[in-house]
Amino acid sequence: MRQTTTKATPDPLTAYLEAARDQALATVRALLVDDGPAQPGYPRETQIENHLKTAEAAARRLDLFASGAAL
Amino acid sequence: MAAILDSVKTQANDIREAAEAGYARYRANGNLSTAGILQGLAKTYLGAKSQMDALRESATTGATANLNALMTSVFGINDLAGSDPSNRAAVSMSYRDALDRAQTCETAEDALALLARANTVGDELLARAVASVAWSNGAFGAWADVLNTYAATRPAAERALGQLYELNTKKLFAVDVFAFLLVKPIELTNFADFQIEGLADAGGSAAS
Repeated sequence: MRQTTTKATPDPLTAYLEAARDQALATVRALLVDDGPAQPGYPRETQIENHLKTAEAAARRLDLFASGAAL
Repeated sequence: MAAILDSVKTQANDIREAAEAGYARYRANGNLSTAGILQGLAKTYLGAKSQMDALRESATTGATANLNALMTSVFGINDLAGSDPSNRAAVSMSYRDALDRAQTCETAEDALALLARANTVGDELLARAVASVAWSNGAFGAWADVLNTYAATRPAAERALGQLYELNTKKLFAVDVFAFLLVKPIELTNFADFQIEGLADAGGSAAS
């Protein structure tokens, strides 16, 4: 018998943060690996740092959400 | 921090979704220069931020007002005092006396006995004062029995008391703490808010 699994839909804020994290990481990857376009006037290294900070902040919050921590 | 209502969370989600849709429209607008797109993103982000700040403010104020209204509904004397100033003054004074008397109860059992006497003789002010003291003492254990006894014959107070319990015991999750979060569009990651304001105010030249 074929079994199907259903993945729970994340709440909108979780989905929003996941998108922000993935987008920031993709931008870092583009800046690093693909040597993609950097924003004029800002050192590439600074831009990578900034996007990493965004990704890190999103990831930390997502960890908190997933832990179910209640105050 | 008070519990955040689901309706408020939905409004916060709507603001984020509208902002994302706005960003997408600017990114896809082939008639705009890079500077024009940045300006559009900056305006959209600042607009969403302003809406989110207003929502946070009203939600906080609303939650406090809601809590106060519930407390008044259960333990207040508005319905007994009426609008006549002299009557209000007299009822307020009697209520203060009743509160003083209720506060002499050292145990919940004392309070239950006093509540029973108040109910028997129809002394609503004293009954309300006893309930108020039970709530102040934590509303758990035997003190909860006092509140339940009080609410048993007062349907309106029972409803409001149920909501008060819910507000006081509702767990606050991390996802609630960040309910008003707004992430900058990726193109503005390198800009501080004051620079984003400068971008938004750049005028028609940037959007040409």
